[in-house]
Amino acid sequence: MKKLLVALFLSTAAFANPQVTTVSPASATTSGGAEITITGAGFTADAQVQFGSTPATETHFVNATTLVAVTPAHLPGVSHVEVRQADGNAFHTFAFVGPIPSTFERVLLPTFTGPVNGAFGSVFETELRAKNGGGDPVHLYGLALDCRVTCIGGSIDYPPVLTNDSDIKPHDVLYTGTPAQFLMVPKSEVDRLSANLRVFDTTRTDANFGTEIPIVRQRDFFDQRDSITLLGVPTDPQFRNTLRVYSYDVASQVVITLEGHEPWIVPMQGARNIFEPAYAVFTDFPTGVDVVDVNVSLFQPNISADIRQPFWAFVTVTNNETQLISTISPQP
Amino acid sequence: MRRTVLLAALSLLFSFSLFAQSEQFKISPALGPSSGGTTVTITGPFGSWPYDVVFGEDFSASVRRVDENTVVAVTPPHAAGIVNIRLFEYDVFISTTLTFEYIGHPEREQFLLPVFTEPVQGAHGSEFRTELRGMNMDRSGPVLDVLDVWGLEIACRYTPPVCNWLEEPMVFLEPTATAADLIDYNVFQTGTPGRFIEVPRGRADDLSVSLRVYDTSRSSENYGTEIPIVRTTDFHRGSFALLGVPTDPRFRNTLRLYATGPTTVHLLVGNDAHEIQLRAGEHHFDPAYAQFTTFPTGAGTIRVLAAGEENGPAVWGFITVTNNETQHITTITPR
Repeated sequence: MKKLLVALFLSTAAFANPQVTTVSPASATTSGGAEITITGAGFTADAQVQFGSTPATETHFVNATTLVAVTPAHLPGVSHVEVRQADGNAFHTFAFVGPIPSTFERVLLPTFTGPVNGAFGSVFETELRAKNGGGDPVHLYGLALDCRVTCIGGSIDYPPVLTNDSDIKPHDVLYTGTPAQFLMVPKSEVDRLSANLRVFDTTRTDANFGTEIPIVRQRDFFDQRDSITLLGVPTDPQFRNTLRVYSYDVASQVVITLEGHEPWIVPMQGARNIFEPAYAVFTDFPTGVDVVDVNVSLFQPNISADIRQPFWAFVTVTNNETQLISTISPQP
Repeated sequence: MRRTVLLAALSLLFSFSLFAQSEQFKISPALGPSSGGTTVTITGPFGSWPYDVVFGEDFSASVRRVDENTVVAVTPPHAAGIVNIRLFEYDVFISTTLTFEYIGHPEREQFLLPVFTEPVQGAHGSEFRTELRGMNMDRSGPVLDVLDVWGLEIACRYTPPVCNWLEEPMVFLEPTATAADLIDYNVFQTGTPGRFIEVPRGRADDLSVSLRVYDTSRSSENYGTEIPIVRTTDFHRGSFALLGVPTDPRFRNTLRLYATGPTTVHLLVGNDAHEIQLRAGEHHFDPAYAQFTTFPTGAGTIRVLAAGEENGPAVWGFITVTNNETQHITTITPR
């Protein structure tokens, strides 16, 4: 009997999965570098620690009940500590708090919604395509893929990953922008990302291929102390103009100036999560015959002038009859 | 079999996109402005000695060893062109097959106007015009500075003509108090079809420009198409991709390729491989250029991969998709 019990114990031990009971501390700053202690049972020397899909900077096996790990830089929010070893894995919640780490770069998709009904029966759809330009994988935090089989993305833990052999095609994507979307891409990977964003009228595909919408990297945003001037905006009533302004972190007021007119002040709608830009839209352009230059700046009276809030803006010019869209964006 | 081997070889070439590399070492980025100051990362089998990095004949402005496989260096200033990179280990130079391209004038920042031509007659009575607008946005400092722009030819107003637009700036944008627009100048749009323009180094943020192509015969239907203006330091020394190119015969596609010097570009258009020669520009504001229009027809979309010569000049390109009936133009650019 004793031999049987020993055999049963040994067989159980041989198949014992790790278990995590506590993680201390239960949170760390987004900048990484914090040492945390993971207690539980069944840890083995080959144990590795991950935070979502991001490996810990260091993992140290202390004994079967204790691991010590160093946190990596990570996006803020509720994540999961995962202990991975040959005989299984275990999870525990963990929180990252603080600003977006400097190891990530925002990539703005200015229009990223599902189909939108427009005038004259038009239906505007957005298409995103993306490819890895070659080399190591590219992680696209903030992109949600269509859940036909396995739901991927939308969280800070398990983003869609572009490998050398994979593409993202338009029908793979859930267009969840409101109306825009930030992707967060590790700075070491963003140069490998090739992407294209297009808006087109599904009812007029025989007449045109739509309009390319610029995808904007964080480095190309404008400093709050600068202004953006968008040149050559038509006032002809054949066209309707929509100015879209994007920022992050803190919502400001947008000041829009056209020569010969009093400035307009438009409040920005604040971002509800890290993947959503602060956003403002303006359509109250004067009509006439001239072409005007539109100056856009941010105003935030209660914030220190030392705080620089980057922003970006562009205008879409839509023909009221044909629904053809032209863009006017800040260049170079 | 031969086609399979060629496609495999091209795929291998295209996989070396962001890092120019030798057998052992890689560098990224592999281009930067002639003024220097570009931070490059070189990876490879470094030993334990301190290393320095030599660009052509000039030592790096600063070097930092990150780990035994990574060195970060800042480029020194250098005249435009492609230089070899050597490593200096303790007391000996180590050759690599890495190169770095210095782009543009050391004292200026350079941009590409991809389409900069006089009006072009098209199908179905269309006439495509290119419109360039520009302003000086300088608002900094106690004195607002005029912004010099090189690369634009204007009508000489003097007799005898003293306009030497290839050497001197011809356009001087006053700081914005009124709209001192490029349109106020009589600029000759003589791009072939592209044109490089330059502003003084450090003044690029003062320049606001827009480039638009529109069909004058259909201006009541659409406002035309914005053409991207590209910093030449955003060109590619490696491959780049253009995604979602339609093959529907209702559209005609034109791929326009630009480079900082004459070169050969390898294309993978869907599954078809091509080699395109970019002829040298006529002067230093004229990019090396070629265009490609032999796209397959069918249904759906394809992607185009373009790669310049390894260790060759930097390349950029984009596609215009034109509806054969309406003449509406959509761009596809590498982002």
